[in-house]
Amino acid sequence: MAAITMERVSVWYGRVKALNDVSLEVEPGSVLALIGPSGCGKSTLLRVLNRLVERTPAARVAGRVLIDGHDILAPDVDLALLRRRVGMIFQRPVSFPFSIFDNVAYGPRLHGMKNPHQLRRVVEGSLKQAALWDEVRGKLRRPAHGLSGGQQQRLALARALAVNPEAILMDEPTSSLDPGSAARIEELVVHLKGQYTVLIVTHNLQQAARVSDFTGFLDRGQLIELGETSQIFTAPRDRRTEAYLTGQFE
Amino acid sequence: MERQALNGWIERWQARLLWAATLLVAMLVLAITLVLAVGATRFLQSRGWRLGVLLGANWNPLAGHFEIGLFIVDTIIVTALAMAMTLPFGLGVAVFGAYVASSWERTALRWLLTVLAAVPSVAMGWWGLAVVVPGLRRIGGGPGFSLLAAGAVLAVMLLPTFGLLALEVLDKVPEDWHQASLALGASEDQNLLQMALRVSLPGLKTAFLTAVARAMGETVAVQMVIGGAVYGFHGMLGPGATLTTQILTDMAILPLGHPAHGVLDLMAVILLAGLTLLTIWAQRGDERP
Amino acid sequence: MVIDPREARGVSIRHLLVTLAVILGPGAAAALQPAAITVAGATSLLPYARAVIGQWSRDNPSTRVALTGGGSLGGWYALRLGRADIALSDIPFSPGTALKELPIGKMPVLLVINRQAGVSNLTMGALRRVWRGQVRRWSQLGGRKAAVRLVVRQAGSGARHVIDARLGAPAPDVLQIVQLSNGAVVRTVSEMPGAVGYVEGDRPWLGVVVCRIDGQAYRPGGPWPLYALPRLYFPASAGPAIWSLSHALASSPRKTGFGIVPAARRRFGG
Repeated sequence: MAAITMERVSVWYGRVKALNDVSLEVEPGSVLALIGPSGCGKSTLLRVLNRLVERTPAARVAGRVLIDGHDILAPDVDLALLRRRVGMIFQRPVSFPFSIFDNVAYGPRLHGMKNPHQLRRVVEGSLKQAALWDEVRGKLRRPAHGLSGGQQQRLALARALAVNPEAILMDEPTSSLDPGSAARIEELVVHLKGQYTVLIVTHNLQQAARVSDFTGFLDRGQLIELGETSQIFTAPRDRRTEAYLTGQFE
Repeated sequence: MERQALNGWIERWQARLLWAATLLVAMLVLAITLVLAVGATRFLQSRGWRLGVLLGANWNPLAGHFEIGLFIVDTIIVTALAMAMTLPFGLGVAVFGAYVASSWERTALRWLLTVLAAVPSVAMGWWGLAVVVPGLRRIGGGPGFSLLAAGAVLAVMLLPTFGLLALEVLDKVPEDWHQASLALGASEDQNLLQMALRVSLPGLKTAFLTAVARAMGETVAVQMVIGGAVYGFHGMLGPGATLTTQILTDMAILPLGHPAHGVLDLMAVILLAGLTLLTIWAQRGDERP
Repeated sequence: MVIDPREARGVSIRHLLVTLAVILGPGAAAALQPAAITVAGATSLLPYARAVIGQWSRDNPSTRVALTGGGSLGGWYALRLGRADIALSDIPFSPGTALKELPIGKMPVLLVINRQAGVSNLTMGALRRVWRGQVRRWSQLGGRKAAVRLVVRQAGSGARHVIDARLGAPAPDVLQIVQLSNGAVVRTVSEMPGAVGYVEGDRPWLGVVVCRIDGQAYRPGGPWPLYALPRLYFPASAGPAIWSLSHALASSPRKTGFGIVPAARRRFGG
């Protein structure tokens, strides 16, 4: 569990400002849903937290981001350690063209775990946490690409969990999945609550309402409103939030 | 409606045309292989199928000695030397181009490699004569004309082939995978070694085989610097002759119509067979789970 | 759109003619000129043959002549298989009764030695010992210490034929570099310390020592032990054009300009 604080964070891609002066706090062990129209900066916000934003050419970040009190934008930050503590799963399920086992063991191996028994334990534990174990036990040597989309997304989650993170970033994790698979991911998010701090970007308002403790609404790079999910969905304070929630947006 | 019919007609003919083109290529390959195979078979027949005898090192076609073992050994050595030199450089160039270079550096690199790939082999041979052969003579004290010189000239010729292909392969690794790997805490080096190169292995293998095929088939540039010695093995710094260079050298004394012309066909068939075996072996590796 | 029918016809007929010409051109040309002669063979004789054929074609404009290399043996096989009408060779073959042989003359084969060997005169006996591998360093023959290295031509070359016949084939354990042309031999010998090789023809070979043999330098008309004997072959049943061209090639006075010494008339040999 990690407490996350953003103070006046702005991001530019070249001359385009993608995130404008965003400040927020996330309580440890809670789930924060980020909603807003396409291109509002939700994904950029997530990518600031594990500094994947720097992969985009000409990206520039200003402001302060604290995770458990440590400034993660400082130049001497150990990126490997940061990303180990802050896991991420993506919109399209990403499986490496390895076996199921090697996919989950990828992270632990990066961080120097070599002992096969230890690896096996971690892989099994992570797959169980991601509710995939029952479907893949005994088939761990099979290629991960043989799994369905929903299974691959749970595999991605297991892979993220295998390095024992404190926070998990989810970038529209169900948008490419069928409703059944999406529901299973949602269940998992609810299940992970309390153990991990979760930030989830979603276009699906019902999903945000179902899984999150807090909801933030972003528009054009600005954080318009952030509050408890029940409050945002029943009594939004800002007109723009209300307009978006009632479908009068875009 | 009429338009639709026209489109259908065009599509049908397009398909037929493409099919015909493919058929033409297949027939061409078949025809070439067949001609070589027939020549080789006739030759072997005339020698009573004593294949073992052909693997010796006594080559003197004017006196009726057709042992090509030495050329097979030299072909393997020269190819191996060339690949050993090309592989690290080519891979380095590809990694630089795919992951390190800025966009203009990348464009420049591609352009350079393409230009290098377009240098005719006879010009590479001159370069070998002007630089590699005297250089090896100064360093090694031998004649300079050598298996090593041939390997070095080949390595430079293969660099763009292998480098460009490997660059394409590494470029094709999806950005998603890089992000997923980095998001798990992989350093750039780990991302490269444990993810990018690993997932690119089948493609890199194909690039490697293409380079090997080119190395085994290259003739003129190798001929110019290898020394053409047909007696005995003189070491890496000594002269030798490969299957292709000896075909070139003795084409004139074993012309089409000569009763022993088939030995040249046989040498070509051995090259083809070697490449085929290598390809099959490499593909078998891919099918492992 | 209005199309003038005359114009359209004009275009299509012109196209048709062009197409026909492209398709039938070479065949039609061959059919119109039945007298086409193919000359093939020794590459060392090509420059001379080209000069003679140029002259001959001006006198016989109705006959086309094609000239290709392929080496002495290649030319011989092409002639035997009916793919060539005249074969140029600097290696002797047995023509039998179906083929005619004409001598063209003789071409000296010169020994060239790297400057660092410190040797410029050798006896035939010493050369034989070099070829047999009994001389490993030039110091054994009064030169410097450089190791002996042979630069030879490929099998089937006229020069190699002469050298192998007079000096014996080089011992297998003597290091030999094979080069495919006179120029490549000279370049290699000039660059490689201790190298010795041979070339066909009396030309100013640069960067190397042209070796005297038994104290004699080569000079046209003087005594010289190493000669290649270029000759040509053609079918005895050939028509007058082939006979005419063959005799022109055998007896043209231009040969001296190409380093070929006229042989004594109707006599053959060094």
